[in-house]
Amino acid sequence: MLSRTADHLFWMARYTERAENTARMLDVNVQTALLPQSGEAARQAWRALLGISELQHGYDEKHEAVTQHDVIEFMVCDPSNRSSIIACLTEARENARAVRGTLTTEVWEVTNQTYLDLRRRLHGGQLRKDPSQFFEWVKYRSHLWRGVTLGTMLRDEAINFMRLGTSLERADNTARILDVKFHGNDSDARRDFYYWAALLRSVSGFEIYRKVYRDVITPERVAELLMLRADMPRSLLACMEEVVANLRQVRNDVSSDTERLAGKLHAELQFARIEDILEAGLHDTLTEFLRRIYELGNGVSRDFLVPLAA
Amino acid sequence: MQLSIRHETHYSYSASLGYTIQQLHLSPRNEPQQHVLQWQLDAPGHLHGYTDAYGNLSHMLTLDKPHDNLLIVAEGVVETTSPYQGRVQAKDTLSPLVYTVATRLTTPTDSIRALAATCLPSQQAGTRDLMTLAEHIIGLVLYQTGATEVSTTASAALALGSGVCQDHAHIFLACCHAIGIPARYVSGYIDPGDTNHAASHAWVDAWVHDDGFTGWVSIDVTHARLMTDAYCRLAIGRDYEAAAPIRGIRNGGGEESMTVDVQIVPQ
Amino acid sequence: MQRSPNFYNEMSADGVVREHYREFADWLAQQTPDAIERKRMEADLTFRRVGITFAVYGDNAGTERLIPFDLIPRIIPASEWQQMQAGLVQRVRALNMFIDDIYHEQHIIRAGIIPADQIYRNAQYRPEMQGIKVASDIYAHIAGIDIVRAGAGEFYVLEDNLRVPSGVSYMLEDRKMMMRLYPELFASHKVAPVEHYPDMLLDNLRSVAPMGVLDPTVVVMTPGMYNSAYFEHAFLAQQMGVELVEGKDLYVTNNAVWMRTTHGPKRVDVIYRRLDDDFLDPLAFRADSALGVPGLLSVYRAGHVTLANAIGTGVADDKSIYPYVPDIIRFYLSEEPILNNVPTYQCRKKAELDYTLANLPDLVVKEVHGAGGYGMLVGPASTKEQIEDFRQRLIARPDGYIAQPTLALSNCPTFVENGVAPRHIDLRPFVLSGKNISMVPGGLTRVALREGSLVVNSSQGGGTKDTWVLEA
Repeated sequence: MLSRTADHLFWMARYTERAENTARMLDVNVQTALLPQSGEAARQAWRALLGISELQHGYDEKHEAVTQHDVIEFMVCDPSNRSSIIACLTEARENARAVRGTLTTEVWEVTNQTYLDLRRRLHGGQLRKDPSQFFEWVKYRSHLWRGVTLGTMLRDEAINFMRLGTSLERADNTARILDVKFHGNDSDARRDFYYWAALLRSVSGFEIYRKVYRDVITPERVAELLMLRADMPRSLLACMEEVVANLRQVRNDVSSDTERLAGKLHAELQFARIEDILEAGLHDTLTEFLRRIYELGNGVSRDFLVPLAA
Repeated sequence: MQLSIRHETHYSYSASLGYTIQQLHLSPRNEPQQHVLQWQLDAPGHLHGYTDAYGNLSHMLTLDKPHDNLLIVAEGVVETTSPYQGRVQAKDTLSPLVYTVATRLTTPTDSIRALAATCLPSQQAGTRDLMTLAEHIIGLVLYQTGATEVSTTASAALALGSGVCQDHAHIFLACCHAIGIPARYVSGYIDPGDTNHAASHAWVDAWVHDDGFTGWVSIDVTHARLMTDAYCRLAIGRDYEAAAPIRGIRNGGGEESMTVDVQIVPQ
Repeated sequence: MQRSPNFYNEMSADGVVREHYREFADWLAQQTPDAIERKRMEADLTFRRVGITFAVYGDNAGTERLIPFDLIPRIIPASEWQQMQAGLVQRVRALNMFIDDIYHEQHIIRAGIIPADQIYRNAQYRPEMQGIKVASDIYAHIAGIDIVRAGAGEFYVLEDNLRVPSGVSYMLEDRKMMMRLYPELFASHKVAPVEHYPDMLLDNLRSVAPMGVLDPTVVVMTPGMYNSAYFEHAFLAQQMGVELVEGKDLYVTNNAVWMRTTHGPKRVDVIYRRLDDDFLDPLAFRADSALGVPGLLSVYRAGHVTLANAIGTGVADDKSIYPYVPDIIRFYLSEEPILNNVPTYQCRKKAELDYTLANLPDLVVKEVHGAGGYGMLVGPASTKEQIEDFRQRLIARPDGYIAQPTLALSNCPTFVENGVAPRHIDLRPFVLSGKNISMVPGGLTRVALREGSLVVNSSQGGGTKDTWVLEA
């Protein structure tokens, strides 16, 4: 297919995933904010969230103080924040529009409707009244989009590039969430349970944790579940499996280096042990992972799509 | 005159780029008053030669591998003779009427029309009239580099009152178009002699009605004189964009800097 | 059904339904207004879902404008179509020979039939094309010839469109819609099918690939989604099973045109381009065009890519050449034209200018190099002041204008606010040229929806109808 078409599909998928993950992250914070804590701790938590996507600077330029209300506004409805939900869903729709001819009617309509409904909801003030419900809606629309893409589109390269986009974005976002949540930890034991439970729920992993571990929630196991368990759909390893599989489907004459990078990263996760990672340092591991995911994204652009540098 | 010419163009870019395409008119035209003894064009990438509709010997240069600079060298020896009374036979198959059509760069405006009316009596102008036009133009538009750009239109240059040989040529063409006189742009080389005039030059051909001769006469507007054997013609066209020695498009590369060096030595 | 004594009514003459409409008229009489309304809404909904709208993707609010589709078809009996088809084949053949001649030997100019300056000073004449050999010597691979019926029922060619004619997607979607809404009508009428147009088009495009290319890669080139005809570009690409590309997807290297794909560069052999000449190649034409492919003309000249339609076809389809077309047919084919031009007075000729000035209130005067609208005088619909104003303009620049008698365009029953009423129509058949000249029967019928209006453009309140050519 045309590189430009694949590029639009790739980015449509990435932006949809990014919007969903932003909603998930915001939801975690909203839930944990309900727990008894000091004002300072709450502020720290919101600041940490901004840190996940490296948005502190952008936020500080527009807002005096860190408050739940303002951070949510910034992360949901500020179009100048390129990672905001509105920015992401607008981009997703623009990319879909550009390749409307390659999408099935259902995929276009879902993407378009999400965009139109978002504007309506924001106007209607739902975000202020019931933020959790709003975030649920965003997640739901993302599930719907995924379902309709996989359910209606021809199983050709279009699907491969969309899956690549989704998986790379998901891996990136999950690593970031993990990094911040582990970094910004304090040692209040009771807070630990609710803290980790909220994190697990944000990646739809709470029940899965129980099934897999049948034991108390510990940070080590949370990290292991989210990084190394292939059967956990949002784990880094599961994402890398998708990346490797889809790269193999679309391989061309110049993609072997990128395939190798992806294969290596996948293999390392596959054979890693959480003890070794924690000993080497979770933060360092995740930072390195993020760097390699970023390189992979560039590799995909360079080998198949419209190179970002052009 | 035998002219030994070397024309070097060097582009360098602040970042690597993946694709460059350049349209080259760097080979002297095949015409009675100039005879190419030897000529060579050196450039990286793919170079495809063809003769365009104006009879120009053209090349399309494409480079689709990563690069951060580009060197194009044209050199050779050309034997020139002075055309009698500036008359040229360009051996092109296009009707002179084609050259009465204005382009974006040579669109007549009121000021152009006024200037044309003072010098050109009618569609049937003689060499003397057209030379008068050239003299008027260089009187109104002082030669100055840096005042205009390659995209400056004739009327803008006239309003500005300064420009280079390209602008003089465009204004001349626009005046001719206003009256309906066929006229075309010529790009090529000039032996600057003792002056420090650039060796790359632009002038015009105009369709004249003289006693006993109707046809093309080549006029250097900037020097208000007929073309001599000190000139070597590369390309003709309706304006700079059609006849430019090098014109191209690139993808990426960041900032571009270009140096041009033309050496022309009479032998 | 109203009677319009001064206009030819497609359906009936003096209150008596014409034979080819009888079956339909009977059926129509049995339909209730409610049933019709339901079908209209169904059509609307379906068209919206498909995306066949006007200025489809331009609106941020997500609303899109439909081109109105009228449910009453325009029916043409087989015998009339036979005649029209022969006339179209003849006309397009002659026009292609004309364009080829202009860009090569120019016999027609030498023979004095057409003045040289009409060609060379025409902005659509492309000197770059002089001497270039094109595949099969075909320039206008797709021609949209606008035909009207006037007076007592004769057909006239109103205009030739040889550059980037559009509208065929409406023709195809209208037929699909009618078959979906009223399958019973297609059982009771023998309507010649049109659905094979995309196949025919693809076949023609492949047949003009550069020599030696066994399995040509054909693409449709579009200016992009903000172009008002984008739906058609995407539709045709999809129907033919070829890629829809924009300029930025293509690049020239090593004397060929390549497409950027996920599997590396793929060579392109035939480009069905829906862009004007001016925007095709910034190194050859408009330098500021970001829609084209730099270097495209050089590959075209080398014969390594075919463009449909060719560059420079506009030299044959503007109003200054239109009056010469009957002579063009005679010159190249030694035949009398089967289809007539509308009588046209060229104001550049003294006698014709005099006639025009003397009869302004009865004539339509058009700018030779205009797009209708501004610069046009519709005599019968103008005030004395407007006519005088135009007279001055005409006297100042006579060779900029042509004049034609006002045509009493035929009308066709159409659903309007209060039922059914006659509205003026025209017809645009699409003639394909490749290894031979062919077309699907009929074409796009456009209807002026405002009462009395002669303007059928969709941008100015026009709609479309399905066109039925009945098989004999």
